[in-house]
Amino acid sequence: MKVLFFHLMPYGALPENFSDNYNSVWVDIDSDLFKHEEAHRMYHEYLDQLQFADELGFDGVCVNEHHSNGYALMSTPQMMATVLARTTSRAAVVILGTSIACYDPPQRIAEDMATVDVMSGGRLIAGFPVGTPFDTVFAMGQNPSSARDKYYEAYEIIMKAWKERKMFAYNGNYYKQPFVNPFISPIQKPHPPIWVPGGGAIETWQWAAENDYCYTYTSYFGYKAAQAAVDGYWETCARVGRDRNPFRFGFLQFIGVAENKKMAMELYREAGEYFYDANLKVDPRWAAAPGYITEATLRAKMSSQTQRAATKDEIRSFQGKLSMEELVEKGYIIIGSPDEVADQIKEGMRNLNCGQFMTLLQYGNMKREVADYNMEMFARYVKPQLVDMWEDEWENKWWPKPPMNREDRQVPRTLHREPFDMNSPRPTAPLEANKEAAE
Amino acid sequence: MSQATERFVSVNGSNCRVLEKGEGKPLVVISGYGGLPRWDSFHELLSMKRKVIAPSMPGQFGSERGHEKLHNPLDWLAMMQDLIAACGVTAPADIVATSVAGMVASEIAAASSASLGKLVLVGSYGLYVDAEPTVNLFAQSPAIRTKLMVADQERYKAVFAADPASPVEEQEEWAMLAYRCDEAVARLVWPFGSVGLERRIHRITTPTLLIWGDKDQLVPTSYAKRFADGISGPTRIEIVKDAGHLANVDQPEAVAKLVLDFVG
Repeated sequence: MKVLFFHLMPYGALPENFSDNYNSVWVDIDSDLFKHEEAHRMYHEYLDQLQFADELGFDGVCVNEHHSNGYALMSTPQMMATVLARTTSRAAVVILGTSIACYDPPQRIAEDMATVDVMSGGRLIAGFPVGTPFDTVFAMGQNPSSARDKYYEAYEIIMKAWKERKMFAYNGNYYKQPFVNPFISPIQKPHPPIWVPGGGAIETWQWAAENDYCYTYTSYFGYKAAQAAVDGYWETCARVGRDRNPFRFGFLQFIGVAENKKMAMELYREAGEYFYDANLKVDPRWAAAPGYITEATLRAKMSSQTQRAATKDEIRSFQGKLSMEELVEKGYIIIGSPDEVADQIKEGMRNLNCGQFMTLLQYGNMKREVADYNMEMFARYVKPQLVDMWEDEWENKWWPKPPMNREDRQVPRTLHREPFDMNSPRPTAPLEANKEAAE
Repeated sequence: MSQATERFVSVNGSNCRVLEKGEGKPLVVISGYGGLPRWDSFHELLSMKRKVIAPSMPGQFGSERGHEKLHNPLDWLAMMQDLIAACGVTAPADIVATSVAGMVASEIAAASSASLGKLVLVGSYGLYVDAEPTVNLFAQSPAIRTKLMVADQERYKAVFAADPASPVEEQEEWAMLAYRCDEAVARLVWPFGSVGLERRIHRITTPTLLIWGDKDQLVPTSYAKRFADGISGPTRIEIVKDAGHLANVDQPEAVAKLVLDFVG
């Protein structure tokens, strides 16, 4: 099983009682709440954590896109991925994902992602979500009735650029671009692995299965609540004629590890309750827009009792005020000693048939020291218990195959030399360098 | 109130429902938000004097999907002209359009005033002024949307709500059709900014009656004057008391009388 480190980059300095005093953490969040010095600290702290995850041996580091959002500070994930391409050396750089229908023209995404792939020496995983109504329809103003079709067009442009690698003209309903020239193309051939993050739309299951992509369910509500939706995905795979290779599915799980459960509850209570109270306080008017969920998905949700129950639970948590005990009991957060956590993950991921396991180890207003501890405990004592899962039985076809050996890849030169000294001797012209190049 | 007759016409390959009733000269009535789920008092009153022809646009209540093939105001304009022609109505047609449907009717008038006899707009979308923007219904709390459409909630229910005595499956199907109808409308108006009508509105020479509810919370009442100022043809403004955005649902008698007095 692949074990990845996922970061939301939450804004961790919302005022106390945010959920009582403010309307929503998303779309119409009060912009006066953004404190720049705090955000400065957070960006650096969070990038440090993603870099630390690489050191700790996590298989991948995941970034994502949200807008006008108090639990997620990454507006354009390619920006963070570019930093990680330079500051990490082993982990896959997972953009999970970019809301491609919000970019015009989408060639920009083809170029940005290719840049990350080239810079990282071929470690990119490219995630293409349709996105949420919060971001796509309201914050970004896209038409809910056409967002999915526009997404398919954006995807088509990006894939054509990556696969054909020659100039072409694109003439769609939403995008018209006469000269798409993918001069900057991915180092992985024919292209980086494609992952498709989704929220339970049956069209997305179908599309991911038909295209033989990895589908990821990036829910905040844990492995128990996800079962019905994930079963639906696997049923779709079966119908489309795809095998049950667990690596064609990724799942995101909140986790807190400590010496024992009691200590873990104490350690992660504040951050957990902060996330599920303040960070998820959203106004329901931004949660849906007509046409964004297709009629077929709406019908499927109506007819499934388990999905209805899961939705009810989610709605409750969106209203805030779930205690840590409830969050743990419902499986939203897995808490405990390394062995307890590993056992729950193994059981949960076996039930979900998940091979790409994404951990969320920093959440809410979790302090730097607490997050570091959680990450280290997980990497040293939990991850080793998970990594063998599935590996003998299945091949992970959705993982980067960097064409460059690690030792051949460039790293920032500041890593290998003393800081520059302005008082060092006057430089001499490097005429030899030109000669060597000529030879 | 006896039922209207129902028939279907094909536009761009999708079957669109047409409700009809009455005798005499045709009067085309096109609904905006919520569509026309059932024949209501407003249409009934109009049908006493005119042959009312009420087509549902693609995706609107009773029609098949088809809105997903429409990408810009020109597509909607052409579709609506096809729909009216498919109903058997010949130019010059008298048109009543409410709410977001007014946007499409205005475009027809701006493109081809000669194809219209008289135009009635009720709480019409179509213009957009930064200082006093029209409201995106679908960005409002679901709990208050019906109140923003119709001031009197009993009247709202009588036209738009599923029959509470009907089986659950039927009520769920009703909800699906309402959802589809919302999608069609959202596709037309999203993201609720200007669609450029202000650059074309001067081309409207059709005599136009502008009816607004005095409590319209979606398209401010001041927009009646904005339309009147832009239209080159003769206009008249009527503000209906105790009426919301869909003034014809809140005050069917008053609005039907204004319409009939105007179109003759």
